[in-house]
Amino acid sequence: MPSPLLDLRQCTIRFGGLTAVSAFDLQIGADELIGLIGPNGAGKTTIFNVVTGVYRPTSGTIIFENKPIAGLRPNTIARRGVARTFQNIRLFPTLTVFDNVRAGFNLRLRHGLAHALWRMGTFYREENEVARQVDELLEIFDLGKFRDALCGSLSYGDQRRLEIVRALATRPKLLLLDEPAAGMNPREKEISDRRPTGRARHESSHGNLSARNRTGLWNQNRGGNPGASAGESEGHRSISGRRNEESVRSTCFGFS
Amino acid sequence: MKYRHIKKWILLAAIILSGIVSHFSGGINSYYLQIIIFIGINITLAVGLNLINGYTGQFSLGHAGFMAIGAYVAAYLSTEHSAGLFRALGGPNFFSITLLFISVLIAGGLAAAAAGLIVGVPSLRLKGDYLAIVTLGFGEIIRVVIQNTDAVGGPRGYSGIANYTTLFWTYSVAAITIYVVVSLIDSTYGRGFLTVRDDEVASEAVGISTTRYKVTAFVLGAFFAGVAGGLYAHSTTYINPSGFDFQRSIEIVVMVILGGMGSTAGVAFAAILLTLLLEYLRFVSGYQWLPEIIRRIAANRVIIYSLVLIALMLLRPQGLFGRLPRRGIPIGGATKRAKLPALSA
Repeated sequence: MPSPLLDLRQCTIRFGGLTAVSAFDLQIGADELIGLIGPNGAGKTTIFNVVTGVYRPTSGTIIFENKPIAGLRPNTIARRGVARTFQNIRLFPTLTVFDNVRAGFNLRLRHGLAHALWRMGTFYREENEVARQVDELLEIFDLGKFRDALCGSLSYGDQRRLEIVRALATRPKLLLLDEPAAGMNPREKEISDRRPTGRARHESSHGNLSARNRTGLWNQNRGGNPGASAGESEGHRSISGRRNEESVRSTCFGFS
Repeated sequence: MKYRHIKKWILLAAIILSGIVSHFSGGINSYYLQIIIFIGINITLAVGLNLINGYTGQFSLGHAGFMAIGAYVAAYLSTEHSAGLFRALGGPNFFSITLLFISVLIAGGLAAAAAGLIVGVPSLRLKGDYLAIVTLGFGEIIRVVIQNTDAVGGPRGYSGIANYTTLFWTYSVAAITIYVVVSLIDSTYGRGFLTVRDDEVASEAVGISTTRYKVTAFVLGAFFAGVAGGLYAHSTTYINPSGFDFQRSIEIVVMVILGGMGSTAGVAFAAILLTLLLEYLRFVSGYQWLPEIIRRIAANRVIIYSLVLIALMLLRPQGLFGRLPRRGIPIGGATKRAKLPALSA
């Protein structure tokens, strides 16, 4: 593999005396689909939070596209091309489905305050283009019929899907899905397999959203957390016992 | 789109209309005229504050402070530094007065905007009640500083300000404020204010800089408050620091809450309603046939605000024009947020 898209080296995060993630290595190349599994409290979401800039790693480096991104603001990292969804869905509850997806276009806007006030040709051209692309995304994911509904009125599965659409709207190079199938029933999972054209099409030949072509199972809590060893081995066993589709907890997409 | 420039035409029409009405306002009773002007000033203040409190979700309690800065800067410039301009343009004629008034209003607005920038910075780290306390403290600091500045009269107040404010200026500024807020929110860029209000973590995750939006909201809101302050100073011709106290800030906040946070039409309507109500209560407190207790309540603004707010929270918590998007179906992930970004279990 040439230089990976995302390269985590010896990433360690401590919260006070608690080591949440210790010396974690992860390489994700372009066009790779990687599942990250582990028992509860292993630090899967913490890894996501570190990669997306919510937390700053205590030590270690994070390289994205050959540039270090550790310590940057989350919005800067999103601009570089890392998008994510949240384990507990975080949509914008007072906005419509359309506006939620539109928020994903904010980082690529060429217009700003002055254009929004002056409202001349270029402003409307861009707004129309954004609206067209938002509608296209909504259609692909079967959310077109909810376009003008408040996102809170959607079913749980639809909300999850909407969050993925919003993340895709930022045109990420790396998409991090935190427990994308949590709480979904099989029917909903099936709908989620639909994917956008273009960038992500490559993935479809390899598998669906909840599948994996490389699963990283790792053990966390090495030291630092007394009393974790019992739970850890138990969790380890149960995970290895069901290393199937269901056990994939979080998914990372590397887009080409 | 057929009606894409409709907002601009409405703005232009509103400005022309206020010019025409202003031109024929000579016959209006000067007391009524003053109230109509106060209504316009309050609309500007409330709609500007709504951008901060309603759309961006930052609770600011120091709007009177921004207004004070604008009022004093504009009044000071137009009173002390107008001589040079008048000399250059051949005395105080229509042209020179217009030029002077526009420039002092803008100067007052810019001074307030600079203060907004300073207040915007703590808003990046503070939320809710804490931010409210900081902005409240800021407003009081402004007032105390003015009170101790002899150049603008200190506690005696600043008098001898020219009476330049007309219906035209007041309502043009109000119309521009409404236009700016409405067209800002109605754009992909402006929706960023709403996403910051709804969920800061998610906003950052899709690449929206919460810092930039919060500071922008504070700067814009403060700018309009500063211009409104300039209009106020040139309307009453006398300003004093106690006119920009905490109570004034509360008054503007009540307008925003009454109208419905994040509804420009509602907030403008509430500004009209509350201004009229408070003026009317002046009469009520003078009606001898009413029981004394009612007259006393009517004379006390703070009690009225409290009553209005209590009634509102009981009957229509979302405000007169507001919507309650969360009613009914619970929204995943929109549960109570913890202090730290609680991204997962």
